[in-house]
Amino acid sequence: MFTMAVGHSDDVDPADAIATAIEQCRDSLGGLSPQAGIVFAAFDSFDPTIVAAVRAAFPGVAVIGSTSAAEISSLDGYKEDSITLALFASDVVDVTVGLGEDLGKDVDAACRSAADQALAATEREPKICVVVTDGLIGDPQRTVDAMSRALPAGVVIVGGASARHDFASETPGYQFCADRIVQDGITVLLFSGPIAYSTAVGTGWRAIGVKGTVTRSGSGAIHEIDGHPAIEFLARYLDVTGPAAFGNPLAVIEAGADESYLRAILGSDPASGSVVLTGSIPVGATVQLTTADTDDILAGTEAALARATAEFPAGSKPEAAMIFSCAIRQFLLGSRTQVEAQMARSEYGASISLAGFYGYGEIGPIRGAATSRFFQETFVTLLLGT
Amino acid sequence: MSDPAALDAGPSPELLRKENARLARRLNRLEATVQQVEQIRDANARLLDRLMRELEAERTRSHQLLLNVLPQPIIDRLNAGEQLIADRYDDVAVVFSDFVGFTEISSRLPVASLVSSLNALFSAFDAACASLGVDKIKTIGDAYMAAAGLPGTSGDHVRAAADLTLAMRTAVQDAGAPWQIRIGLHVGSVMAGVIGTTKFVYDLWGDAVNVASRLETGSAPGRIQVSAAVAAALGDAFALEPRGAIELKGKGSTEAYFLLGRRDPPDIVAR
Repeated sequence: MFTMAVGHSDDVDPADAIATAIEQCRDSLGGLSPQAGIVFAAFDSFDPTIVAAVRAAFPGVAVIGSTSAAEISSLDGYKEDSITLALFASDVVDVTVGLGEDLGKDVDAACRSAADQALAATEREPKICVVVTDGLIGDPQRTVDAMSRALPAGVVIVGGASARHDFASETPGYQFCADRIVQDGITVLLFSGPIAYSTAVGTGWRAIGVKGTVTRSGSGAIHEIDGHPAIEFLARYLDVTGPAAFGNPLAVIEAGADESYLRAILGSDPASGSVVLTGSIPVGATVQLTTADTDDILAGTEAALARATAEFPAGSKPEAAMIFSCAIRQFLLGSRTQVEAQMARSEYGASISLAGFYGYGEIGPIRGAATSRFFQETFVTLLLGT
Repeated sequence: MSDPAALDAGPSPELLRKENARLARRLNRLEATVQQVEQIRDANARLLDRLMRELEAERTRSHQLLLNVLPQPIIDRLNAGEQLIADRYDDVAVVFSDFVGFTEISSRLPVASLVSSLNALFSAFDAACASLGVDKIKTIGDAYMAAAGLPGTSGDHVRAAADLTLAMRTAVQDAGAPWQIRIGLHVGSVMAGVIGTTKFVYDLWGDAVNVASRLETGSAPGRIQVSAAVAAALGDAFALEPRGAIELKGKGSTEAYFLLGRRDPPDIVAR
C-alpha cells in the first residue's frame, strides 16, 4: 500500500488554510498514519506555524516544504495564494526527510546533511529523491550535483526551487523541515523500498537561430560564446538592454547529452558582455535561443505527462503524482496556467492524487546526462506507485 | 429600513475580510505583472524596430546578390510564383569567348595565380558588360558568355555586343602573355529563361547560341569572328574583314567576318 493524501486551501489566514488542508488529508487517509509530508505555501500564505500544525495533527510525521509561486492539487487544481499539503502513508515504502542549511557556505556539507538525515531514517533501498532547494543563493546546478554525490548511486533526483514573493522583490524564499525554517537550504523527501515511479520533463520551447558554444562561464553568468562576449550572441535576436527575456530561454545541450534543457535569461551586463542567468552552464555546452507561444508551452506539458504515463513500470499501479512547474511558465501562460493542472488530471485520471508547485527552477533527469539537471521554464512530473 | 434577517443572511464580516484580503493580494500581483508586461512590451517594440531595420537591409543585400545572377524582370516573375520561365526572343546578340591554350596555361601557372588572373580578366569583362548594357550570362571554365537585346535593355544591342567584344579583346591584350582570346558574335533567335528548381541560372538556348559558340571556336587568337547577320547590323560604324564562307560544325558553309574595330566613337548605350 502506498498513498498520498492531499489537502489544499486558499484561505487567506495561514492557520485556517492549513487547518482545512489537514482535515482534507485526514479524510483522505481514512485512519492511516502518514510517515512524511510536504507543504507548498504561497509566500503570502506562509507562516511558521503551518508546519507545527501539521506535526501536531499527525504526531511523528516528518514534514518538509517550501514557499511557492502557485500551488497545485487534485482537490482544487491550480491556485495562487494557497497552501497545498501532501502526506504519504505506506506499509512497504519508506518516505523520509532531511534538511541541509547554508548552501551558500558549503554546498556539499549542506547536501550531505540533508541526504544523511533522510538515509538514516530508512533501511530500505533509496530510489527517488524529491528535492526542494533555494535557487537564488549559490548555484542550483552545483546544489543538484552535490546532492547526487551525497545520495547513493542510482537515486533519481527531481524537484524544484523555492519561490519568493515575486520576481522583482528581494525577499528570499523559505525551505522548512520539522521545526527549522531557513532561507538558503535544501529539503529532501526520499522514497525508499519497492516504489514504482516514472518522471518526465517537458518544455514546449522550440530552438531558433544559430547555435553557439559556451567558451567562458561562471556561476550565474555566461561570459563568452564562441569566443565573443555572450551579449553579442543575444543581441542578434533580443533587446539586451530590456528586462529578463522570459519568452526566449536558452536551450542548453551539454557535451554528451541527448536532450537539451532550458535556462531563463535574466539580463545582461553590458560592461562585461556577460549574460546573466541562474546557475552555471559548463564550458563546451551548446546554447541556442528558443521561442514558444502558449500552445507550444502547453504542448510541452502534455508531452511530459504522456511520457510519464508511458514510462511508468508495467505491472505497477500509479497512486500519486507530483508536479514541479516554473513561475515563468505561470507568468507566460497567465490565465491558461490552470490548464497544466487540468492536463495532469486528464492524463492521470481522477483516482491519482496530485500535488505540486510553481517555483523558480525545476530539477529532473535528462536523457544522456549522468545526473539530474537544474533548469527553468520547464514542467516536471513524477508519477509514484507500487 | 433594512430587514435584520436579510442582513444576517449576507456574508459574515470574517468572510468579507478574507475576501478583501484575497482580492488585495491578487491586485498587488496583477499590478506587478502589468509592470513587467509593460517593460516587456517596450523592449519588444525596440527589438521589433531594430529587427525590421536589419531585415530591410538584409532584403536589399539579398536583392543585390540576386541581381548579380538574374535580370530584374526574371526576379519579378519568380517572385510572382512562375516556376518555368523560357521566352523566345528573335533578335539577340550572343557573345562567346575562350582563352587560347588555357589548358596549357593552367598546367603551368600556380592555381592561385591562375584564378587571380582569370578573376581580373572576367572582372574587366563584367565591367564592360555593365557599362555597355550587355547581360553577362555565365562563365564556364575559361569561357565567357554574354548577350544583348534581352528584355530590360535598350539601344542598339548588336553594336553594344560588338563594343563588348572589342573591350574584351583590349582587356586581354593589356593583360599580356600568356593570355590570348578568341571571340565569336552572332545575332538571332534564342530561348531565354530559368529552368530547374535549385541553384537558379538565367541561361540562353537555341540556334543563335550555337552559332556564336562555333564562331568563337572557329575564330583565331586575338580575333573576333562575327556572322553575316552581325556584319549587316553593324553597318559602316565598324571595320570588318570578310573571311568568305567558312565551315561551321552542324551549320555548313557560312559567311563570316573578323571585327577589326570601330570607325567612330561608340554611342552611349544605356539600360
